[in-house]
Amino acid sequence: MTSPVSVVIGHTIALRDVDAVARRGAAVSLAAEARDELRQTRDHLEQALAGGAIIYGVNTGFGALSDAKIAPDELGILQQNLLRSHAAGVGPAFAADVVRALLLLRAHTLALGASGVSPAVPEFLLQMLARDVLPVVPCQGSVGASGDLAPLAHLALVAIGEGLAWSEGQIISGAEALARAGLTPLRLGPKEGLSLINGTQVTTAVGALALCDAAELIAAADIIGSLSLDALLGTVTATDPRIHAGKPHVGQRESAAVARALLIDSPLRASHSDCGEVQDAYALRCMPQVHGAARDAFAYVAGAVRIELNSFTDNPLVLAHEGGGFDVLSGGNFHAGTVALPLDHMTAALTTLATISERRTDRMLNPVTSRGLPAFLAERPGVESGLMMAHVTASALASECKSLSFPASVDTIPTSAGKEDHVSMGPIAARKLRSVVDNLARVLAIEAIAAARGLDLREHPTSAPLRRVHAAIRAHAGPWTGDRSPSAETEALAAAIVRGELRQAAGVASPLDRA
Amino acid sequence: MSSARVLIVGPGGIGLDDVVQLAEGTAFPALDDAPEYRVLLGRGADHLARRLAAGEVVYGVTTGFGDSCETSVPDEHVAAMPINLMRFHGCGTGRILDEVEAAAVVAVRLVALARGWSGVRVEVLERLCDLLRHRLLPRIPAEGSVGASGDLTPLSYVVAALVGEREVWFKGQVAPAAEALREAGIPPLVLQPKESLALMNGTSVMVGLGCLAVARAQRLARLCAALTAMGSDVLGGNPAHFDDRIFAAKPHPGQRAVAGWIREDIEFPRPAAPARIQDRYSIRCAPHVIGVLVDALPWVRQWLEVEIVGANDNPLVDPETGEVLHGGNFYGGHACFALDSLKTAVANLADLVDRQIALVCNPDTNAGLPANLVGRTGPDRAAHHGFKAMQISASALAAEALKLTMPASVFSRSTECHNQDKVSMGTIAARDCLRIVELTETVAAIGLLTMCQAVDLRAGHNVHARARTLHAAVRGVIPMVDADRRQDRDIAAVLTLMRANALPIGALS
Repeated sequence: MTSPVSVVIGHTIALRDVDAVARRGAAVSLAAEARDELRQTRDHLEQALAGGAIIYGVNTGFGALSDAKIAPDELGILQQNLLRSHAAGVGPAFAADVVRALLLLRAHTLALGASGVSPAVPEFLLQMLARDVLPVVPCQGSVGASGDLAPLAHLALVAIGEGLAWSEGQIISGAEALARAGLTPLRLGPKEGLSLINGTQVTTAVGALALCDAAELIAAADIIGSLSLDALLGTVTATDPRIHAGKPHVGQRESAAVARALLIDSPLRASHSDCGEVQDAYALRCMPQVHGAARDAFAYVAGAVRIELNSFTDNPLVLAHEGGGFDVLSGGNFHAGTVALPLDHMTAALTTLATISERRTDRMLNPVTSRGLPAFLAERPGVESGLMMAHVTASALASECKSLSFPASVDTIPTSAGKEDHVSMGPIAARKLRSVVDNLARVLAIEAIAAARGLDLREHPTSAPLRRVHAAIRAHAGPWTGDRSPSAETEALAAAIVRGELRQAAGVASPLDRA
Repeated sequence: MSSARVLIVGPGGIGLDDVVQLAEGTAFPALDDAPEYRVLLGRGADHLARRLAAGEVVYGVTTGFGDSCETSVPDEHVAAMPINLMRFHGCGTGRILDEVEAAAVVAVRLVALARGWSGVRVEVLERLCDLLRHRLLPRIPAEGSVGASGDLTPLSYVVAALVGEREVWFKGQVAPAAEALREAGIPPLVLQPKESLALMNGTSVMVGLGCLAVARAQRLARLCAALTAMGSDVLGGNPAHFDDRIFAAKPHPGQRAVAGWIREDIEFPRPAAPARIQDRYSIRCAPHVIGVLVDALPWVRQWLEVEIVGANDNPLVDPETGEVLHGGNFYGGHACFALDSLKTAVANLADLVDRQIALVCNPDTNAGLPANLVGRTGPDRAAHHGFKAMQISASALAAEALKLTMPASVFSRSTECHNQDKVSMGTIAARDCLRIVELTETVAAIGLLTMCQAVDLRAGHNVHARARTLHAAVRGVIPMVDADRRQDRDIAAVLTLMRANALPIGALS
């Protein structure tokens, strides 16, 4: 994946942009015209306040305390108190890539112009990003409505010179982090504290990064599954386009086409064309139907997350009305139900990829089903155990994926004295997806190691593109001769799969290209 | 009715097996007539009447119910409270509990009130005994209870039957309650203050259903041990996996007992030349799977028995002092947790038996038996598929059972204006548990038919005591499959035998 030179916020950003900024160092800037629009909206809000308007969260208390009216001289304190009281997160801190994504996505939603903050606020977040001021953000404590309040409050505290931040792997005070970066703490005007925390950015930051990786895994499943099919002397008949035109789910057709293109010219396949086997087991034969469903799920989920990335997720919103002027409207765009359900769906889809991959690994290791490969792919089965335990690891990971597939979005607990009586649990859905992505990468890596070994043991070579994939595997996991610990090579290959190395070797497009 | 035993219900309560007998109609209740007990029973209602006459405030008697407890009810309307309580809870939905299930509910409610802490008259207890004696049983919709404050909605159907409203089961038919009471010669109950609340405020639906599930689960455990023995026989398994020394070395008592059952079934010790030195886990580790259930059953039973004999009403009336105690004993947390656990242990048996069926059907693992146990021998053999679909069915049933193991207890939600802001969901656990038991019984029935087919195909070679007796019992009603045919009726026939306790599965000691 090539890194864009820079990302411009304030209009539309793509899933790829999140990856580019969070992990590849892409620079970010604010669209010039967005700055002017922010200024106009802010002016309107300040005029409305000067005119005595009562606006939720600006001159009232928060949540169930919204009936409390706040005096003008306490509006600044109100925003400061909001950030302090809401920084109630617990648990391990998010990794640096998630925190960068959070800064980007929060700055972007503010730059879209409906929050009524001054341009200085998104610009400050971009400064933090550019100067690598990364707040310590605990990963637990958000119910995903009204927004990911607690984790975003930890982020926002650093902007005002409080809270905690990372510095070369150490935790230092937010004030110290800003000072080292040469930044003066942000002074919050009315509403600006609320606008920093009211939204779905934890759900979307974790979710978007997980989806970028999921795209690679979905492509890799077709490629590695094709390697296994060839190693197991399977047939390409089940990928015949006529079959899939007859049940034309888009993803199913794509998966079938990818596998067919990779396998069709394999000399190994041609070598057993007269073997008399007409149908493979489902884990080989039904790859297009299973992998394709994951592709279709990805398209739907990526679409939902893309909309969310480019949405006003704040409340209240300052919105222009027809014929000039602005209104301040209270709504519920901070509710992450719009992405919680899709992310749960993605998790279930990836789990099916893990379970089908584990079945293919099993077939290659089991001499009853492997069509002539040695037990556990060992050189000397008995003295050696070969990949026996690598397969058990894949089973444990696949089972863990099943446990993680229980949807987070079906639960809700009323909070804030019953005012927030139906919440999304979106960040929990996103974090579970992250775990399933990590597990699936390793399950696929184990299948790839087994398939590469299986191909080494066959008399005839596989196709040219799959030989390139084989070489890409060998860059991280050597030929499986003699017993050795599979752990390190599994991890290295899993990371390479997530980076898209096998996909690039195969010359296959990423599902992210359409997202 | 004449051949059934009479079970005395008194202050000491009854056990889980007694509840099952009352439910199945093999026993009928009689209220203990010891004079001191009758005095104790009379006290609660007397105390309550005295307090009301003195103008005291008692929850649910002179106040509204639940969150409405701060609404006081004027004296002239106190009498309408119990009947209204029953009526507004008449909103149950879903399938209707069958007669055995409804009788279990009535029996468990009877025992809870017979403790004498609920302030109801002896007459209420007598009427509940009458319902069981005449098998005149409420038609209770299964859904609508959050399992705290008790199974209010479903238990309102018990009250309705007692007063002659709604419908009942009577003589195996559906009848209006008033007509059935008249025909049975049972006087409709005229409810006194609090009696409706006392009848409805408790855990008796989840506990009644739970008792039935425990009894069936116990028989399933023994049957699955017998199926394991048959599997070991037909696969030429290694009997030494069940050597008691192995189980003495990790002495979970239930696991050890299961190994003992299997040893008895395969006539251990005996000379053997096993096909493999180590059988696959679904045979070798069967005691470790079935044993989890057998070890869980005693504590599940104990928790349910505490719930059966415990006063799970609110408020309680201390029969000695007459004090009215407001608490939360209607909360079904223990029953819920016990039954959630039972669900998981039973569903694991469905999974185990499905794997055993797969071992016996798969030619790669079945030690020389024909693929899918096809019993056809003629030239058209290739056109027959034997037990292929039976194994797929077992897999589908096992998956459904496993899916249902999600704990109900973690799904508490605040209800009733946040008065009931934490509830047990125990009744959902009980219903899921019964469904898992039903699915697992069906998997076991398929397993038994599979093993019997394998016994036929082995022509009795290496077939030991349990396999022989079970095979004979099944073959008494179902012939071997020697050509493809429908087998749904075969499964149903085995289930009938199983549920009538007519399969020679061995003692449960």
